Parts: sequence; structure tokens; C-alpha cells
Amino acid sequence: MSASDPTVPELIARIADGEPIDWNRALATDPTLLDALHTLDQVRSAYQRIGATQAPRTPALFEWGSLSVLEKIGVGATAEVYRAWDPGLETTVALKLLRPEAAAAGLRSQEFLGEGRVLAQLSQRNVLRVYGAAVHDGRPGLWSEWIEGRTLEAIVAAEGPLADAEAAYVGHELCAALAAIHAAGLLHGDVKASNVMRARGGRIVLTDLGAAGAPDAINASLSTQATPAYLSPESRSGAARGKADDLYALGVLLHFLLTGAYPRDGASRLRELKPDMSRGLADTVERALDVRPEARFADAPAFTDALRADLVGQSRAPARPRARWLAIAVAAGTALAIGVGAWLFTNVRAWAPDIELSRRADGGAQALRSGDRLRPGDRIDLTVSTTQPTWIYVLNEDARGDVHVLFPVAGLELANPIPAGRAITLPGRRGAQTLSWEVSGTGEREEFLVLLARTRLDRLDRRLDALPAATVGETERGVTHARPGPPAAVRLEGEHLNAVLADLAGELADPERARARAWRFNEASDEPAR
Amino acid sequence: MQAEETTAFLLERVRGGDETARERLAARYLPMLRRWAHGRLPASTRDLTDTDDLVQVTLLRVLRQIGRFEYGGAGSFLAYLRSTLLNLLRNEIRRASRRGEPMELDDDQSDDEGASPIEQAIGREQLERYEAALETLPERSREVVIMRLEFDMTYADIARETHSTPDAVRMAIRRAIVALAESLRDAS
Repeated sequence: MSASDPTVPELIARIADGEPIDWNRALATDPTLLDALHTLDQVRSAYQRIGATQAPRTPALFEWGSLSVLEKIGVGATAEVYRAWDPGLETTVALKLLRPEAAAAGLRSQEFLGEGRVLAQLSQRNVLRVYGAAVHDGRPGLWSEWIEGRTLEAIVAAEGPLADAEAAYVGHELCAALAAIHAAGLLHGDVKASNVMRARGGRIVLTDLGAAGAPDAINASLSTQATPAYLSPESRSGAARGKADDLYALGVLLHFLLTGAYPRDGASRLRELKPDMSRGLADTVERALDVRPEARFADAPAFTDALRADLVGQSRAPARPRARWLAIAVAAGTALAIGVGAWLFTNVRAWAPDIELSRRADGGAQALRSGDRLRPGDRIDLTVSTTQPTWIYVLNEDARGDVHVLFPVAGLELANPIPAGRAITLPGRRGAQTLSWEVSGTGEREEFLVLLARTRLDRLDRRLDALPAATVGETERGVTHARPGPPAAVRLEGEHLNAVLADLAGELADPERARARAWRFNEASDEPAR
Repeated sequence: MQAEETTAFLLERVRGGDETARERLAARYLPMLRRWAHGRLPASTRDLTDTDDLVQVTLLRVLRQIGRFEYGGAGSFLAYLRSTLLNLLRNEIRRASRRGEPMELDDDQSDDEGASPIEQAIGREQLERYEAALETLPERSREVVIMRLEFDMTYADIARETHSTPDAVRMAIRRAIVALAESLRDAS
């Protein structure tokens, strides 16, 4: 815990002032108050973002092509960076222009433009999105998305080094960025803390693509583009740079994020400066910094795998008190590790439930649509993946009006709400046994209704209590034949199911609160299923 | 001197039937309200309704019926516009989501299109709690906090509109944020 972590009064002041807040470091004895303040900050910044897509009120400094250049935000040796308004995209953009004297000297103009054009074809969430490159009024420039946020350098300067899991997460994201850049046959060439931004909301973005380009161009501009602390030992002794140097620089960056200091003479100081840090992460960073190129990670994906393992390992460790928001970051990282979903705070994630009714086939599952044929003995299950904990109700009714609740049912291991973040199959398992609903009857009509809700539907719960539940171990139902008609627009005939739907009309009017989906199968048939 | 004309002054003139004052008020509030409304409407609804038209019509109607509005300062005028618009937007969204077969159980709808930008940022339930928490604030607190958090007005602008000083406004907003956060916390 560092003295610069923002406390509640500071957070309130920053929300009021409209200043960006690093919620990973926010401190409060009352975490629920922290949640509430975070919500208010999100409301504020959401409105500010909407504002950013409105045409600017401030007068332009000058026009560059179709862009209105509004404000100078940085000056480098050969280029200047501006905030500008793109009337075509109707959004704020960042514009990097070669300085007039550099442009007049013909310096780098061609490579600058060429690289910009290549970069404009890259699309990866951790790489700054370049929109285009052109020359207007004799000035070459490239423009890109505008990121609201701070550089990692500014974050470390203001708030001290990052926690282990946070640094591992940043490294993981940057590996993804480098993998995309390398896959396009490019090098970044200048990975460093001042070239990485953490956008509001947490997205990690590798910027300053003005330095990036084809390996030849990077090497030609070695003297002007390199940042010494980030150079690998072999490139310091004059070797041509390659992908390995971007990865080495990422190792240096992680060292800096974890300690606030750089390796000394190429040697890691992690264990000296941060003796309590995670062993696995220290090993990973030190491997990236090994003086022997062949001992380092072979490529970005290999580095990614190591960082991912660090993230997963740490998520099992008990969270420390100050790591409140961090714990969420780690959980999201873990979700990534098992290949589900993207990084986002779970409480800001839009509700996106996805369900699929399937018939189990040999060793697999086959998705069912209304109209598909079923036959007695078929086994059915429902796979659910959702971004928010979700209450799920599965009902079934046949032509005789026999209705059954298939889920939730006492005796199953799964109960509502169904957790978010991974695919879950209902009815689920009992012990070592995977359960399913078995088609056994021969009713003329079989309808399945699935209701999904963001919150418990009390009215439905009470109603379901009065209905017979499926018995675990033996299952119901039956059977099918196609009926013509669009499968998406199923109209239910079952009296009980319609009564349930009518009862929930209020809830279902709001698709953010509850949704329904139905399947309908008609008439038993002896024909084998296809 | 136009920048010095407060909402109070202009509203008074509108009441007296001054068409120019009405136009100036519309010019002042329309961009703010449009921007706000874009935050509250789902992308899918924005296709169905011309939000800007809705906002404009609402503002003009309010200005036409200004006699009915009991004036309590510029903040209360903005808060009044906001609540009028919020009710209209809710009806609009409800109408849009009911359009089409009520029993059409189609799951093709993209979720991003169903949620407004603010809902996407904090989630629907949290937005409802936020609205409820706003209602628990004293009127003056609610007004300044809305002007700052939602309408992104500067302290100086808020001070001018509420006949206060920027420092006093800053303190009032901080207090309002505390009250709002506590109310939000207690509701969760």
C-alpha cells in the first residue's frame, strides 16, 4: 500500500473535477461505498465519452486535410501530436504530424507514410488503431483513435509500482499487441512505459506507432528511435533488431512496472527491489531479460503463455485488502486464460445470455431448432453462457397440458443463478454422472420454454412451486416432427406455458431484465431421426 | 453581453413573450440535452426515432408552456427538462421494444443495441439504483450534481447559473456526490 493510493475524499474530489481515477488503487474501509463511487465515476465518464463524439465547440488551430486540429498535446524531435476532430468519423482523433523542418528536409516522410498505411490495416484491441496516413499542405501525418487515459510511465510516477497481478495483466495484453504487430511482419521498435496507455475502463493500448515499421526501417532509424534502457544486450552491441528486441523491451517494461526501476547493466533487480513478489512472475520477467537470446521466450505467444500462467496462479492466492479491484482484474485474466470472454469488469458488462438446446449425439451435441425431429430416447440438454449471473427456468408442456419444470429442480447440483463467464450445461452433473432430459413420451406436441432473467423472478418462482417438477434420474417427454414455419417465431399453444408468459409480460417487455425463448416439436413419429 | 444572460433572465423574458429569448434558450439547452439523450437511448431505438427531433420538440414544448413551470433557478430548469425528457424516452423505449409480435421469441437481437451507452457503462440495474438515489437528494444537491456529472458543465458555468461561486459549487457537488454514493450503497 503506498501513500499515494487515492482515499475516499480524494476520489470524491476527482469525480467532481472530472479527473481520471485509477480504480485499481482506490482505498476504502467500506468497499460498498467504493463500488458506489465507481458507479458515479462511470456515469460521469460515460457522459464525457458521449461528449467526445460531439463536434467540438472550441475553434480549430488549423485544418489539416478534412481534420480540424484543436490542440497541441506533445512535441517530439521530429513530430508533433495534436488532438483533432474528424468530421467524417464524427469523433476526436489523435494526429501526429512531422514537424515542418523535418518534412522540409524530406526526413522520414516516405517511411512515415508507408508505415502508417501498413499500421492502418492492423486491428487488435491492444494496438492503437491507426485510421490513415497522408500529406496535406506539405506536412506528412498519420491519425489514430484518441485514447482517454494515462501512460504507464505517468501512472508509476504518480502512484508507484504496480502490484504483481496488475503488471502481469499489462504484460499479457502487450504480448497480444506484439503478437499482432509481429504477425503483420512489423516491429514496434520502441516498447516503453511512456508508449503504453491505460485507457479509462482499463484497456491497455500500445501507442507511438510512428516508431513501428518494417525491420529495415527500424534498423535504419536505430540511432534516433531507440530508448537505451529498453535495448537488448545484443542490439546495444550493434546487432540488427528483430522481434526478439520488442519482447526484451517488454521484459524491461515489466521490470519497471514492478519496481519503478530499470535493470542495471542488463541484470534484473527484481528480487533485490521486491523480495516479496510472486516467484513465478519474477521467473517469467527474468527469463525475458536473459542476456542469452536463446534462453528468452521464442515469440510473443510463448511469453503470453507464461504471463497467463502467472495470472492464473495468482488468482488462487488470497486477495490482499488493497487489491479489491485488482482481484476483479485477475478474475477476468483467468477467464481469458480458459478462453472465454474478453476483459471487462463484471459489473459493467452488458447482459448477453446465450443458450442452445442440444441433442446429445455420439460423443457430442447437436443444436436443436424448432422443427427438428426428435425421437424417443433422445437426450436433450441446454448450454448456457452468459456475461452476468442469470436466473434460468426451463419448462415443458405437451398436448395434453401436462407441464413440467425441468429446471431449477431440487436434487440437481446446479441452481439459480447460473454463474457468468463460462459455458454451463443444464441439467448438469450429479456426482460423476452427466444428466440430460430424455425424450420418452409420445405426446402430439412438445413445447420447451426457457426464461432468462437478470434477477430472481419471484412471481415465477411461486408459480413454479405449484407445478410438478421433473424427477432427477428419470426424465420426461417426448417427441417430434417438424411443423412448417420460421423457427425463430415460435408461438406456443400450451396453456400453462402461455399463462406463465402472460404473467411475466411486464418483465419480458424489458429485454434487459428478462427474455424468453421457445422450441416446439410436433407429433410423435416412428421415423428415425436424421 | 450574451454570455452573461442567465437562464433566469432569459426565462423571465420568455414568459413575457420574447421570441428572441426563447431562441437563445433553445440554442443554449438543445446541444446539452441532445448529448444527454444520446446517452440514454439504446442504439436500436435511435434508428427508430430521431432523438434530436424528440429533444427539440420537448424543449420547445417546455418553453411554450413555461408559465406552468415554477422557476427555482437554472439548475431546476435543467433538472425539469431532464425529468421531462427521461419520461418521454422511457415511453419511447417501451414502445419500440413492444413493436412487433409480443410473442416473437427471437433471440437475434444484439445486446449492445438494446442498451443505451449509460446502461452499457454501469448496467441497467445500477442505472435504476442511480436514478432512485438521485431522487433521495435535496433538490439543490440533485441539480448541481446532474449539471456536473451528466451535463459536464464547468464549476464556473454552474456558479453563474445558480448565482453562486465556483468554490461554493465545487463544495456543494462534493457533498452531493457523497450523499449520492451513500444512498446508492444503501440501496445495493
